[in-house]
Amino acid sequence: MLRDGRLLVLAFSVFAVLTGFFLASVAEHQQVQLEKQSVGATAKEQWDTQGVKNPHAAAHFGIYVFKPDSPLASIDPGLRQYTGQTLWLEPHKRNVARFSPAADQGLASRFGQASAGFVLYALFPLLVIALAFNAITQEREQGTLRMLHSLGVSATKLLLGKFTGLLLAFAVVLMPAMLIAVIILYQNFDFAGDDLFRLSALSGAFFIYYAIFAALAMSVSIHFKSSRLALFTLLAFWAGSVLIAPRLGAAAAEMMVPTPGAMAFWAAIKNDIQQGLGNDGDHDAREASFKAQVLKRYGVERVEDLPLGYTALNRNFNDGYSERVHALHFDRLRDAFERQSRFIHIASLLGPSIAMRSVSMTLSGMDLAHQRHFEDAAENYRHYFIGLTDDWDRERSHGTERGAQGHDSDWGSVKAFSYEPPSVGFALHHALIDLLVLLAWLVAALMWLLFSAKRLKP
Amino acid sequence: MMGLLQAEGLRFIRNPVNLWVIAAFFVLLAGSAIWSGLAASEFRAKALQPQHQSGNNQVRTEMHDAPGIGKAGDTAKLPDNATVRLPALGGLALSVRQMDLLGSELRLSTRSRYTDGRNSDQLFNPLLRELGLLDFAGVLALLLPLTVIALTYGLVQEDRERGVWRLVCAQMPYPARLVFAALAVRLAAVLMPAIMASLLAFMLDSGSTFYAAAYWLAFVSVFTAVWMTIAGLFLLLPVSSGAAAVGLLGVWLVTTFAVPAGLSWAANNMQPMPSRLEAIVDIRRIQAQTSKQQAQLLSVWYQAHPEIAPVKEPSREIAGLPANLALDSKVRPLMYRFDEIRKAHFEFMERWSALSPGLAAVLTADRLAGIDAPRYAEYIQETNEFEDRWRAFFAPRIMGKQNMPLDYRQLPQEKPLPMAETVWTVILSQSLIGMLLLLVLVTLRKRFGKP
Repeated sequence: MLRDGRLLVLAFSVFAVLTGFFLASVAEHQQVQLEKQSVGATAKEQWDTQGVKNPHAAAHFGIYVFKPDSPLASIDPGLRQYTGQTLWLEPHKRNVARFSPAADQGLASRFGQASAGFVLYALFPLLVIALAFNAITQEREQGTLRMLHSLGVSATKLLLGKFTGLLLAFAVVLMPAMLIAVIILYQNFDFAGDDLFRLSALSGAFFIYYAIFAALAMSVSIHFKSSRLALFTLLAFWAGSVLIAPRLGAAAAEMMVPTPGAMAFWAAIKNDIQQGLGNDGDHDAREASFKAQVLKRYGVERVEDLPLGYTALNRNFNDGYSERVHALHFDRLRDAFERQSRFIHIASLLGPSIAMRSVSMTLSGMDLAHQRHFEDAAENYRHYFIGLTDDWDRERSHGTERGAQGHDSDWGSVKAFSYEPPSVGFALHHALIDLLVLLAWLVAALMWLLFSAKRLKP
Repeated sequence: MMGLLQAEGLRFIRNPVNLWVIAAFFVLLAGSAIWSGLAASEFRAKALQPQHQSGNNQVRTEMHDAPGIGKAGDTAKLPDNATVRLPALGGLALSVRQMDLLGSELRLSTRSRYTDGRNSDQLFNPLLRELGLLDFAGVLALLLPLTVIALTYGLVQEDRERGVWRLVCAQMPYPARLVFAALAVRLAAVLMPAIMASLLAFMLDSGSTFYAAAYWLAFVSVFTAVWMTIAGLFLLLPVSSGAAAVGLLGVWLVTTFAVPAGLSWAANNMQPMPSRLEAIVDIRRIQAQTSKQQAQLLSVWYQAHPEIAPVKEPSREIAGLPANLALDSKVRPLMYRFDEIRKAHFEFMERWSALSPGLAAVLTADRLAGIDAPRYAEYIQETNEFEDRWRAFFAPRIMGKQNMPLDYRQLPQEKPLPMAETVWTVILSQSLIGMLLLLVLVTLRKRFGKP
């Protein structure tokens, strides 16, 4: 294998493309992270220095939070193109992340992102195919297979030897690439032990992925008489797995698990807040009931006589209900997204690339599960700081009077959003189905390889 | 030549692999065409639904804490928002999902839509977008070159490897004619399913136009011819059929994935896209400024509208309206920069699209669908102007708490956007590059005579 000129030329070309894409991704990732930190700090400073104003008016100024991406996003940016870059936290409403980069740079990424991940999941299998498509057909065409047969070399040993040789050759290309990646990531980012575990798992998954393509390529090379036909079949499989299956899966998921459009989604939330969930009663009825409870609790006849700010108290009550409705709709939407993601796995029957992409995104922390984890943390933070401003408003006013005021010292006392990304265990848990799909493909490919070995004729 | 064409046609048809390739190509394209055509029809049906308008009840729900909201009840009968949509063009089926990615549906109100994602942002599963959907133009741009490669790679090289080409050269004075005949048969074989599937997509789209279909079919013909010529050039190379296949695949990878990425990089270097994140800081600075000036802006507004008597106890909605208008007038230019730069990038990539047939396909599709960046920038500009007229109509009514009867004939109307786009630039540049490649192929045709 090492004496094969193709390995040198193809491996060097793909390695060069991978390095180029990786370095470009690292630079972009570094810039995005620095920008997020800088803008996050400035936005918090703007929050801290709002001056004297009503605490609730201050809350309406809102806080922007940003998801700190894992260093592995340099390898696979995953969904970054399509998820928003920032989340605005404000009273009364729960928002979705805004400003997806794809809206601004849609043309270049229409066929796929120019990232190291793309090289790893789309181009490296082509390298495997280019190296293995004629592993047996060439021996047959040159007559050497007959010679090997006459020497008593068993077909299984011959095939496994070629298969192992191909994988080792691949390891020779992949290992230095991974080593360089670790060094670059360590130098440029806060590369923790968790990230190393994620990178190791990712490397392992990619190795399984390439082994699948290698085993299939070998098997196809046995079954077809000409190299041309073998190459043709393998390229069709590659196109099916990398290009067609994801699109078919996505289209099928969209049809089978419909999700609401933006207008309908927000309108449904507003409607549920207004009309109430189940037997909760409408907005006015809920407010009237709450008012009666408050008056009874404080033993007064009118809200004006309350010892604390009723406006803030009432708002807090309404916001609690609004949070419940928002959580219900957001969970429904995100559950639907998850069902769509699971549905896409059906297209994994056409090839292992969908599963590999999902594993890659998940281990890089750039998938839907990690995004949801971040959004939930941001929502908790929203409750925290809006709760604080409500407390100040309620404690510093009474009745229906709205004279409460806050100062820079109050705004500055709001803790900055600190997000702890989930561990590698979380990622492995969410990647489990995809890992199982990959393993199933590997087992099937190896079984076919062994079965093909028995049918190998010179 | 006709005899050669007939012979090559027979040879092509009698190879079952060729028929399988064409069948698979057609099935996939037809699937994409059906999905795209139906999705386009669904999009148009949604656009025809009555626009969602609501009264102050919605604001009340959102701003349920606002003190004195009941005092603004006089304005409750006024519609406080309106929805506008980017009208799709006749080629929507070619690029239907791009409509979801950009905010094609915008809600206008007295508040800046830029500070509230609910008024402009779309909602979709990012995973589906990342995996790519079945937009017809994208699928055709990916699959058609692969089909051409599958049907043509190593045609000459394989005959050489088997010793057949020596025979051809010995029997024919111009072996190149045989190659051209084989390429012509394959051109027709690839073009036919592409045209049939395209027509299927247009037929299923209820709003498709003959104009868009004609342009698209012209483009598809040129696109196929360009790829067939590239494949022909690879037949000249003195390499094995496998190496020719890998080489062709390399050209496809470079032109489809690397060139658009490179052009995007170049466009961004020439006119860098501003940072959305930095824009947040600017927006917040403006928000803080207008919030501090709220009372002053309110007073200035009433001074500028002496015919409207100031409200004694203005609700939060009324008190904040002039500040909201001031905020939006400052935020709009900030955000419009993004649309202008996108437009510049699109036009730059269009100028260089000859280098990437795949890119040319999606640019043409975007133009024919009406979702291209220049048109979108125009749409945003028109929407801003319409929003200004809309606000000028409603703001005095809200600020004066006037329970005026609404004469809907006086409601501001949107100016319609042009309903046709030309894609001649892209088609001509693709034709030019195709003719250039064909010229090279014809010039070097004698090389086919080498056994």
